[in-house]
Amino acid sequence: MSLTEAYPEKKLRIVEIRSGREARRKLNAMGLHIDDFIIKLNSSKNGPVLLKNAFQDSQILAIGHNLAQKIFVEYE
Amino acid sequence: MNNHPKFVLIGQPNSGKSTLFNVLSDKKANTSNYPGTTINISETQVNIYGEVLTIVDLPGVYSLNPTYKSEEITYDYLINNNVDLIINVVDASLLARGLELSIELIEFGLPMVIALNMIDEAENHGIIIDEKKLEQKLGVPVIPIVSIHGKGVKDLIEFCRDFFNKNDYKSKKLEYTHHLEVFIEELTRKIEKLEKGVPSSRFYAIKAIENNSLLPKHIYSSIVDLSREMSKENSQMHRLEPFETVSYERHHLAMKLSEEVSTYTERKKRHWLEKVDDVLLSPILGYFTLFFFFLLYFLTIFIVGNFISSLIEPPLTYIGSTFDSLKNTRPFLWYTLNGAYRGVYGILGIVLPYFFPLIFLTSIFEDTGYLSRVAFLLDSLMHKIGLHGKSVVPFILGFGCSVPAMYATRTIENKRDRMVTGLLIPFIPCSARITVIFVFTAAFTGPFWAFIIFVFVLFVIAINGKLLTRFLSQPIGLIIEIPRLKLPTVSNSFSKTWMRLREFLKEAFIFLLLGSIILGWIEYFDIVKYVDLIFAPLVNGIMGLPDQLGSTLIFGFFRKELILVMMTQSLGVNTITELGSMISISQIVIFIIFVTLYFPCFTTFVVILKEFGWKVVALSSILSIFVATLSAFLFRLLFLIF
Repeated sequence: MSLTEAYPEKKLRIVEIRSGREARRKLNAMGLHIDDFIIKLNSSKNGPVLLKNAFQDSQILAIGHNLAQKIFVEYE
Repeated sequence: MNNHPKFVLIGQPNSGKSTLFNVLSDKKANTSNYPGTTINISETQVNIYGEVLTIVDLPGVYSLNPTYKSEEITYDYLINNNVDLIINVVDASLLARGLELSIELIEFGLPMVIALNMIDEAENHGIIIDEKKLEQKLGVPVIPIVSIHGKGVKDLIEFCRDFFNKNDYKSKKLEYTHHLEVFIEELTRKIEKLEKGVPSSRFYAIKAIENNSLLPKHIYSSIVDLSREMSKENSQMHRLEPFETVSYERHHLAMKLSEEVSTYTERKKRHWLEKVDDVLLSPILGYFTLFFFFLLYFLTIFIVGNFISSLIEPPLTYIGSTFDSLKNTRPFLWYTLNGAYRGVYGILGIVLPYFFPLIFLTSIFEDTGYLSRVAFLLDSLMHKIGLHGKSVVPFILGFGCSVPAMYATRTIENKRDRMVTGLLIPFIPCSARITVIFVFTAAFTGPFWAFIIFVFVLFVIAINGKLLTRFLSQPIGLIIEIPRLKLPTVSNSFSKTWMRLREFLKEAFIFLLLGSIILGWIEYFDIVKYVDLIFAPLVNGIMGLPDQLGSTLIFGFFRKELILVMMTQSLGVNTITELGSMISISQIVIFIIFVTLYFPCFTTFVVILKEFGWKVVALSSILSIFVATLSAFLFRLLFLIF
């Protein structure tokens, strides 16, 4: 499922990032990679997604809705 | 140029580099709680126990594979300058992420020390870091600090002092997984034959796989075939692009290191600011807070601005009257002096009173970390006009003054979004144009038309944004770090305000002064009537306004608020209210619409030129004149029909 569809407050694993090259580079630079565990923080029906790394909870990232739709995750 | 040893501060955004720079030196660097604030390079000389050092604060970088403009600045600086020591500032509460950059810096090959910052914050999150163990693992000295309180900074200073005498550290080679390491080794051997020194051949070998466009030409041409072959093999093996494989491996290396040196305990009670943050980011209360925040922000600027203006205006008016006698005796001198006086009056009496509270509040606003939250909350709205949340901040600043708004576009890393935002900012009514709107509507039409004009301007911005972005490629969307909420420090906000005021005055003062003197000469030589004649087809033909208003547009280009003064002069009346006998209400509305939208003012013009280059200045000028003319004509037609 895409990140936008996932329930908040659940531990998720990133399985695929289907965005363009630049977005993947930026996501990597901000510390998001395939196989990383994240926690989605909001319900994000239309707006951007808030998330944090499951192991570094002091870092919160906001990702635009369209881009979040291209990040695929699964529940742990 | 000086020959003092050069120590550079490098770290990820919000790692506290600029705060450490301020602690290490007297000079104040721009510190903010918003990613990408340090765009400029700050440099200062410090005397440490008799040894003079140059300390440089470089823009924050997430990696040495640049994706932001600020990252390019840092990368280029490292490559092109003789740096003696890297002080790598790492946020201890985000150790794994911070170490990804540290690994790259170690690969770069310069002597390095890690300033492990915000250890108190890490402890609050239940993370205890064994810095000695980290030191052993990396082969790089690690000094724990809390830069904001100056804790541990003495140890760092002492390390810097002793650096040249007993730097016996030798950084360890941090190995990637076997298959990648084979590629790196082979490339390293080849590069070693071409170049030795810093950056290391290993660094270039990794870049050859990660992003070979970063390689110097002579290295690139020698290894390009091998690099491509390896990249292809790597892509087939991992089904990832080479940059992703390297980033992925570095990420795991950093995670592993972080786990090995950290002990996780139960985190302390949530800080009250984290609870406040829940409200600021919540779907309903977040927008509610945002609305009240903006209301308070603008009200404060107007109230404080009015108050400061009322204090400054009387003495300035008095100064203006002191050379009145020259008008008849030495008219040329009077027109020159009066022009210069108007320039000074404009800066001190009109711009500064609003500019000061604006930048002070904005500094506080930046320090809290709320800017990122605003970008998050308004991202969906901005998508409707083809942009994303990061453009919100420059837009907000544009309501005060287009100049800081243009500077604020530096935080937008995407060139497309930055340029479109820069093109739209001149349409946002700045405090000078808001003054023009309020003065005219208060005198003639009432608040209803002020409201209509504001709604129309927002509509114009939305349409322009939509049209401009329609012809450009889609942006990658919002990816922004939401930094921890912090309480702003008054001293930092004041010093930042002072720095920005100084920067504004340095850049704008001379232009405004000279421009105003030239305007004085235009009046003296009575060139006004020729200007009116040139503008007649636009002013009279298209907008249906008296010819005499043509010259006011020239004055408005220098400073929008001058229109108020020049309009009464042009039409031969003494007060704004007397204008009612010369032009109709519909003409006033048409004129306000044109004045609000046409051409950025001279200072903004200069800043756009500096920030974006002449092509964007030309585009912005053509676009704004076209939009203003079309809008004024549209209103003229509407008034004719209804």
